[in-house]
Amino acid sequence: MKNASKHIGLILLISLLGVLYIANAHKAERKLRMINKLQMGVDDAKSSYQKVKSDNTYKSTESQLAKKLKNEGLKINSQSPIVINPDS
Amino acid sequence: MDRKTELLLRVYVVFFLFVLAAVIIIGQVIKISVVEGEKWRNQGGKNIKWVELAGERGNIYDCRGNLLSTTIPHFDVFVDLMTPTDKLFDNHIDLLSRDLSQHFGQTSTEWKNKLVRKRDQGKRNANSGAQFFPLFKGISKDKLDLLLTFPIFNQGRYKGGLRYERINSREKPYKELCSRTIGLDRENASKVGLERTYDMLLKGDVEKKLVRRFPGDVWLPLYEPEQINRKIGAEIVTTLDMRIQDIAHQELLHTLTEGKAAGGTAIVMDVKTGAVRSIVNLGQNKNGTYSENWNYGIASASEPGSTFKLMSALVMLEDGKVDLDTEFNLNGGRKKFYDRVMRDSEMHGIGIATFQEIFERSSNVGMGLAAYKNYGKKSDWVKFYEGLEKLGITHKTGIEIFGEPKPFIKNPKLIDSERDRWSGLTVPWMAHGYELKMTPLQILNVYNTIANDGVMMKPYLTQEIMKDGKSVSRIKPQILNKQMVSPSTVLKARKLLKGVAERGTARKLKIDNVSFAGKTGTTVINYWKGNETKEYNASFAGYFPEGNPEYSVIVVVYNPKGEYYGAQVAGKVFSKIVERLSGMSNKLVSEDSSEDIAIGSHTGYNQDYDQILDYIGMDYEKRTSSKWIKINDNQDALVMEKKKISKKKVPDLKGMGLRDATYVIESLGMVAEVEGIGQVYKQSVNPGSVIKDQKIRIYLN
Repeated sequence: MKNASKHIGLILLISLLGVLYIANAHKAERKLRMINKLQMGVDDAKSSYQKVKSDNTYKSTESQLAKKLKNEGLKINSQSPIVINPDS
Repeated sequence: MDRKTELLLRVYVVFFLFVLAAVIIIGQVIKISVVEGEKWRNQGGKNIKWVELAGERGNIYDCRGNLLSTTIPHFDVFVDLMTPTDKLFDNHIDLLSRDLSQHFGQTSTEWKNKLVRKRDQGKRNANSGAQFFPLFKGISKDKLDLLLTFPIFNQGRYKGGLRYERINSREKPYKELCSRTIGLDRENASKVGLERTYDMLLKGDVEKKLVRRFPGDVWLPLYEPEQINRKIGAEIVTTLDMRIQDIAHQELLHTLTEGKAAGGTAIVMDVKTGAVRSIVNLGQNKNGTYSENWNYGIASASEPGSTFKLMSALVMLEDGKVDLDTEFNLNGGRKKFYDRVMRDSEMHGIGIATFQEIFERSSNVGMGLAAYKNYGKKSDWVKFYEGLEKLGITHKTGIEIFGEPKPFIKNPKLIDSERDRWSGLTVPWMAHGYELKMTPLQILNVYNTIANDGVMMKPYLTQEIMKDGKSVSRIKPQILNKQMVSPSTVLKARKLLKGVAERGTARKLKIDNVSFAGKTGTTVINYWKGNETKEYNASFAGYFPEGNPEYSVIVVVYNPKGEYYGAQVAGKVFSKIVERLSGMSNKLVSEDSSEDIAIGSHTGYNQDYDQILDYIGMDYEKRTSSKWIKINDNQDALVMEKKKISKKKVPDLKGMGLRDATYVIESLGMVAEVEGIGQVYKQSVNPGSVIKDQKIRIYLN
């Protein structure tokens, strides 16, 4: 009995550390799951980005633009470019 | 009891306790590993396992950094029709069907019937597949997201029953453009194109990782749990330029469709490096449309016809056998060699003609005769072959795509080979491009070499390999042959090709402002079939701008119906490509060499400069509010200082723009004469001299 009261401080400290250890482990695990979830979100966002970008690249090719703008009265210039030479 | 026995007893007791402990430990080890082993091992395996994480396949880019091939996830979508409750299903099936038909086609009644019937089947029979009813295959992420918002499906997997499986598939943003060369990465058939050549580099490493199960069925790596990214494969940067590809594709497609041709190819190459900028390969499908179904440009060897006359001319010029003014008798356009008649494209009735004229009008008789006279003897055959061998055209070009055939050029030295046997007809027929086979790229490389002053480059498609965003290796242009033919032969060849464009078979293709050189080709492809309707391949190979070539281009159109002459069919595509490319780069027109003036020396109207500098957000220090200012570059900021303009003296106009300068001059009652554009750098009357009603000439650069 005398011994127990002598070590009560140490016992309390150890139990406190134990509680902290468990809490920390849970927290870490939660973080890991969060990372995993976010990573999936990043992957999804990345693939949507690539999809949009790839659609956009195709739509911005000269021929596709020409097709789209046909009804607006715009077309690919059929004349060859004129060279402006400032020296002559 | 004496002390000794007491001591011994104690030792025995301690020893016994030790032995007991050891026996218990060993017993437990055996119990755990053998008796209960199975149980514990299963338990362990449930929470920890090895997985193989395949790396993500690297992207392919064009030379401007545009994506050519990338991995995009697609989804196979299933629905478990037994999951939704009767209430949920019956209440929302109409809305769901409507949404489905709105975004995915088919009528809403069709959708409803299909889903209801399958669900009823599932109720009667557990094996009807209603738990795993396939809805869509390979839909994109945005379509899937849309599906997840529909009634019933928006209830989540456990109530609504929508399930999906992620499948990574290769996608080409440019769709059809250059697709055969970029290649296919497929599971069940052999890969093609660059996807095949660089397969090992593109696909990331497979990594084995130990993963641990966390509550909620989440598996994460046991070690370094924060690192879940996979090893990404290398990325390939090609020499292709999709702007050029787009132009070449559209022009070729247009001509093919018009002529209902069997197919065609168009290759654009950078003259100085041999970098392939575009390669179009179109073949006709059964329904008459065209698609990139075979790499004609690289893998299809055929008899080149008249485009090969350049090679024959090079051999003869290099050997000193002919010169541009050597004369031959064309015999009206028809000549018999042994038992076979050689004909020009028309009976032109011309007799004597120079070698240059023969080349320009692409006379078969003339070219055949020139070769026959110089190499027709059996003993001279080898010399003709060696001449061709020296040009380097008996080898592959070595481009990175699998399936390039070796040019088929008969070798008279291989006497035993049936395939290589020469006859008396071989020399004259080879001279105008028959009895031999080459691919369009191999032909183009000879034209490119002439454009590149005789330096033969290796055609290539890859300029850089990157890993994790960093360059791993940069591929430099390679020289195949430093000097294919002597410089004087190169000059003569360029003269011949220029003549074709100016006066010869390609004269109708002329374009304003841009000059090119090249050679037409019209090849009969079924001449051995007797009198059937003849079939032709039309081709054109050349380079531009003529004086300082940047690009070399070859166009081949296979078996066009209707018009079939090289100039009319392939030449038209060629000149269209040249015309549209010439607007793309100032390298293709003459350059403007004027230098920019440093901003420090600007002079002008105060308010204008305020506005401009504010607009572009540059810091400046204003030391004056006078109307005219001078800007000085004062170490870290621009300083605006007063520019004095006297009403009686001629001002210093240096650094002013045209508008400001003329305003000042005219407000002083003088007349301005202007030369050049830009800013004033010189004036005819010295600043500071007294104004006497006079003219002033200003020079702008």
